[in-house]
Amino acid sequence: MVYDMILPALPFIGGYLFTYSLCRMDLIKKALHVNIWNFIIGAAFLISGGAGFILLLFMEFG
Amino acid sequence: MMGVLTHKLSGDNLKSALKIENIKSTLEKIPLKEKLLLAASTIPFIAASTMSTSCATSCPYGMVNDPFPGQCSRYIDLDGDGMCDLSQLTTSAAQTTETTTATDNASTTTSGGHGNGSNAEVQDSVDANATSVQDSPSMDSGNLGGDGDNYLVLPISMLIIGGYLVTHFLFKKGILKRNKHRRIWNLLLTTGYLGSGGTGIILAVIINMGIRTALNPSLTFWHVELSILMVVGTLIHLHIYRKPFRNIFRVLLGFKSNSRRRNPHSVKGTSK
Repeated sequence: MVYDMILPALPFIGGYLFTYSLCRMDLIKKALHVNIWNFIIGAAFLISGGAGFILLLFMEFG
Repeated sequence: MMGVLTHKLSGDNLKSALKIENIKSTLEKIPLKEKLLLAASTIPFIAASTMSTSCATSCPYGMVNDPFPGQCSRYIDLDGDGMCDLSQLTTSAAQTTETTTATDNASTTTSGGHGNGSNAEVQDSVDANATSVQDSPSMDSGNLGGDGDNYLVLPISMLIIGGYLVTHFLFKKGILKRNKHRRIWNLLLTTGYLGSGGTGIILAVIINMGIRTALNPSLTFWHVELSILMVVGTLIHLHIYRKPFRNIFRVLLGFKSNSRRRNPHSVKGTSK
């Protein structure tokens, strides 16, 4: 099984550069830029970390 | 003569020191901070004792002579006799019960149908790879828990939660400052994220390139352990920064907070 690493990372890198440039041009507030990425990190954690932890519990307790 | 005298005197001093009243008065003289630190220092020993029970060398499900391919995911056969090592007992008294349970297990596995057979074929090839790794257990330095997929979920979770409760209590009592408390948990969280992410990237690269080394089980083990730290640490992080966390949704969804009404020029929603 091959895992794609670069392709899934590109939208997030591009999105961050986009919001950062909007913030630098004062089109959006810094708080909004920070909160958007805090929200995305939180969602990524919930999906990845939560699913991984549940998988670990399944493996651990049969 | 002098030696006998000094011996007697030290024995008397020891006896007087061990009296309950003296112990109580000594404990009362110790400041609260040191008492709490002493109590906190027992947490690793408690966690280690739970680790020893969770890393038992016998079958956690109580099975005896579990034959290949095993009834659970913890099946391990280092000596190659076709029986799970965790389910094999060494006492002669247990051997009489082993024969009856072995026949029961054999009957259940044979009545399992073709599904077990196909799984056994797949696991044969997996076992060939597994034995080549297990032949060099000394290289598997990361697997402190012992066997196979035995990850230390509960002990590490309990250790982290216990540590947070202690630091939170110290913070509430004013012994530990807010900045130091936050810094400790931010550092632990960073360690968890960097470790879990780093080992995950390395594993993904190794798997993508089809590289199989004896370090793969170690990497997987540490990836899992650091991920446990990451998950529990993140929940703790959310508890520490619960107010800014609530502000995220207020900023994103446009809800107005009470504090903003008092000071409309303040920048809210950024965690610090």
